[in-house]
Amino acid sequence: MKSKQTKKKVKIHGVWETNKAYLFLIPGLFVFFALNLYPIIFSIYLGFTDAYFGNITGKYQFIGLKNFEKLLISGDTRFYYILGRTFLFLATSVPLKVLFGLVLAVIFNQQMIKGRGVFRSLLVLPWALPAVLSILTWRGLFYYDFGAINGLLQAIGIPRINWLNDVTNAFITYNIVEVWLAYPFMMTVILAALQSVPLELHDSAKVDGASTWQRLRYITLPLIWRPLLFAIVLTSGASFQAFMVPYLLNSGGPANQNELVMVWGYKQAFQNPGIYGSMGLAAAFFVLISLIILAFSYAGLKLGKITVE
Amino acid sequence: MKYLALTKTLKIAIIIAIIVVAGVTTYLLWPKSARADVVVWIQVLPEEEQFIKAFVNSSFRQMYPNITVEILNRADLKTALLAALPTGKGPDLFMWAHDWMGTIAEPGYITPIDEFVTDDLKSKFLDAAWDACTYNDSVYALPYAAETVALIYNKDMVSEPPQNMSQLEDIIRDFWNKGKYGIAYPVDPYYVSAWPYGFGGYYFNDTTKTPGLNTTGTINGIRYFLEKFQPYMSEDTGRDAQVALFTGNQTPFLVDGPWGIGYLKESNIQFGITTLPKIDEIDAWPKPYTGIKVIWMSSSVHDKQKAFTFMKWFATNATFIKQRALQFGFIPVLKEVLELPEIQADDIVSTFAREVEMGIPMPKSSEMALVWSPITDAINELFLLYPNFGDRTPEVVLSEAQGKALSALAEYKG
Amino acid sequence: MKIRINKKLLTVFLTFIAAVIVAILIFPIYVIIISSFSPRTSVFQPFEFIPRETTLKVYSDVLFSPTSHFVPRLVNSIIVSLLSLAITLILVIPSAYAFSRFKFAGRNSLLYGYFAFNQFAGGMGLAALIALYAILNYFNLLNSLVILALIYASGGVPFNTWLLKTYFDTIPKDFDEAALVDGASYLDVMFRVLLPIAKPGIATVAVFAFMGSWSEFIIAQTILLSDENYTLPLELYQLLASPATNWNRFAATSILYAIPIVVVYMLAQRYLQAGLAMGGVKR
Repeated sequence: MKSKQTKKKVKIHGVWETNKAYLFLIPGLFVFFALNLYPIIFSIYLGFTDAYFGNITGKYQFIGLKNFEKLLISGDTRFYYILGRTFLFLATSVPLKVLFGLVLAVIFNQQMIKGRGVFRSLLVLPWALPAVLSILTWRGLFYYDFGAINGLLQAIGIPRINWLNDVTNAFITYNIVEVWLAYPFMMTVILAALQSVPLELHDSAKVDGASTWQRLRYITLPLIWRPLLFAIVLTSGASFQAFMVPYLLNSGGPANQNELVMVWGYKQAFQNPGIYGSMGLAAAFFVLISLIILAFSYAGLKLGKITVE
Repeated sequence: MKYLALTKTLKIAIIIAIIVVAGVTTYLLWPKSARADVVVWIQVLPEEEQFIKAFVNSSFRQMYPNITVEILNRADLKTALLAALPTGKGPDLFMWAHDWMGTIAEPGYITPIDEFVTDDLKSKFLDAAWDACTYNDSVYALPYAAETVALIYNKDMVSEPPQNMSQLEDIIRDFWNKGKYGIAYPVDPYYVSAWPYGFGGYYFNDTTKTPGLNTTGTINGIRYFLEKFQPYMSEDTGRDAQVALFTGNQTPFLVDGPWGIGYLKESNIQFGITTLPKIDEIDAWPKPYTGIKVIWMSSSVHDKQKAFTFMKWFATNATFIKQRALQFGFIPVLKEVLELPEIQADDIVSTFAREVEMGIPMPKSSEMALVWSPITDAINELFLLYPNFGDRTPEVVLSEAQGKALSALAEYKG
Repeated sequence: MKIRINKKLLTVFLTFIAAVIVAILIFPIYVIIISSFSPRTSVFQPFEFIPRETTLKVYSDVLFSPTSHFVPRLVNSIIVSLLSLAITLILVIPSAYAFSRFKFAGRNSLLYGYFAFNQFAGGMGLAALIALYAILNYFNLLNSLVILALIYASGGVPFNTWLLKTYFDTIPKDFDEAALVDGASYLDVMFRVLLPIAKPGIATVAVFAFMGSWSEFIIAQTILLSDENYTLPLELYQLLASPATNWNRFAATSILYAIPIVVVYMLAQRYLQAGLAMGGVKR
């Protein structure tokens, strides 16, 4: 017994074994590589070719960075305006999403509220329903003539607002719908994190006389910031890649002024697979967007030092 | 301890690996059910799917008991075909609107059926419909229906359908002054096409492969559309909103196609239908885009003869075509069905049929795909601006659109 | 006495506020539910808060009409999602454990790799679909629900591993060490020490994995080739096949489609409980 114990002790303080770790990892890695990597790598590769629907079976050619050049430099330079618009959307929707999710998670974590479980399950509905349905329903609510929102405004004496055909208002509707669709995700992640904080840490802090605010700052926040940051990074990615929200609500704003990046990409390349070079262009676009998201997420994570430990 | 732990983990891993390998092998070696002789991919609503399958079972099976058919309703046919056709393992037959012809014919994803075509077969169909099935002098498909837009009116609000534009205008203005909207008209290039083409303009020329977005005819047509309708329409220009206005008794008129008839029949509106009224100013009729629905033979066809047998049956079985017309509003392109008294008596089908005759089939070239976007943007922008164009007049906006289309075409010429 | 009354009042008050918040937030869902009971198929009519006409016909059509394939596709979706969930857990729990507790060569790069993949996975474009179809076709693996489940699970490995890892990270390593000192193997630590504490994390992963499979449409519709195998999203999107959407049917199908997710979420709720009191370790 004694010798076993000392053996363990030595292991703990040293570097832990690596081969066991690999064993745990390999099933996941293998399955992932087998089924997902080839399609993704193929897509990336296509970004450097002139592939389209007509030559995808063989005769497409490698053309280097021409697609990227077309997208960034010689093509429709609205790309940069649209990129800016998308970042604006990011700046508005992400804080809103986080705030909403956080507030809701905290509220519905309070023991004093009866029926929390039921409430939480209801709150998850925006996420559970197909996005198409929800977005189209919201569109109906925003209709100028007989949408419920304008109906409500009229009932309380405020003049009707043109939601979908005005640049700024449409942008606002994008935010509203995006937050509505995304808050369940945030709420779930944060809620689980809140629940993982051992109750007795709170209890002992209360005994020591800590206020709610102090407990939030010194106990809760340090313990949940990792999943929280992770969720923020992901939800930023989602905002950036928002397609259905702008596309279904009003096809990219009145006269394309609110075209977010993915809507633009879709209209540029995805709709014309039969046009020479379009699949290559679409793939290049896809790579570009991924790189941008990657860069930002990486920066976000590095800021939070999330992988150091 | 170390040894024991390793072995336990290893044991579990080995067991899992064995299960996986066994499962996969069994799966791969398991005999698969035989493939049907003819596999057809479609994309339709559930009611139609059921109708087709039932008819195939009762009628086609009786006539050709030794041909097995599998009909698969795909939720997103276009994507499914785009993924499957390049691999050569797609369906035998599939259906879509004819404007896809150029995109799939050029790379050879469809098979010509010239060997099966007879003059007799050709004469069964309307010329325009037959034309939609040919490409570069080969026949690739058979047509089974057509669609276009027409003028639908609320019988309680409008007693006599307008015969020409000035009559239409009067009624529209009348209702506008009474506080309603004048007309429900989805704003998109397909719906609006009647006017540019009516004035002699065009979006795209299939033969010369050039766009005509800023030709005089196009500009005049679009201007005409704006002048006559925009002031009396709602801000919500999408089809859903416009249709809802009509079914909500907010407008006397609606411009829509046969796909919308189902709703209308279910709503409480007593509706009638007529062709788009004559443009008195130039003594010409509006010429809306028509889509011909066709059934193609794909390049991955297994048995051409059997596949063609089904194709032919699908497009020429008069009872089938007639039923589809009466039940689902499909406009027949089979001459013998168009002449049936029941069809002639059906207001909806016969009116749409007349409108199809007056219309223009959409271009087949794959290049057309590059034109939709510029013209959509242009029409939307002009609609929002009207009547205060400022320096963004129709000439300017449409010329820009033409420029965009041309440069897109140039880029893609490869 | 005073304190007790205040607490009760507070509870009622807070519950009321919470209910109001929930009501406002799920208002659009209320609209959807009303549409599902509407006899009209058209998209929007002037909005009625309390509808004048309601009918159950739509739901009965969705469930029983011969034009609907709701029930068999529901079954298929359940099979695929549960299978995918199981596979995901089997793959992800050990992986997350390894990332959280071990240091080894390539750890950081792999972690970033998983993360990178997640960002790329956002747009599975047409090219990826063609490649997937081709590869499955080559191995004759098309039209299989099992393969679909496998694809879903594998696609979720990076995201779910990351997620679970961050939850594992919040559990102090002291627990591990205590168990190891007592002679447990790594497997024991994983199963008997971490899993019980990480239940909220596991529950979250389970919900995401299930939901991901339940709502996936593109891949399902590309590789499933026979009616018997179709999953529920395909039934749903089929209703959008024409510009003339059968709105009330779409709404009804969506509501029924959402119910299992809510059920799974509620089941997962049991693991999201406050008060995970643990004995033994004080910092």
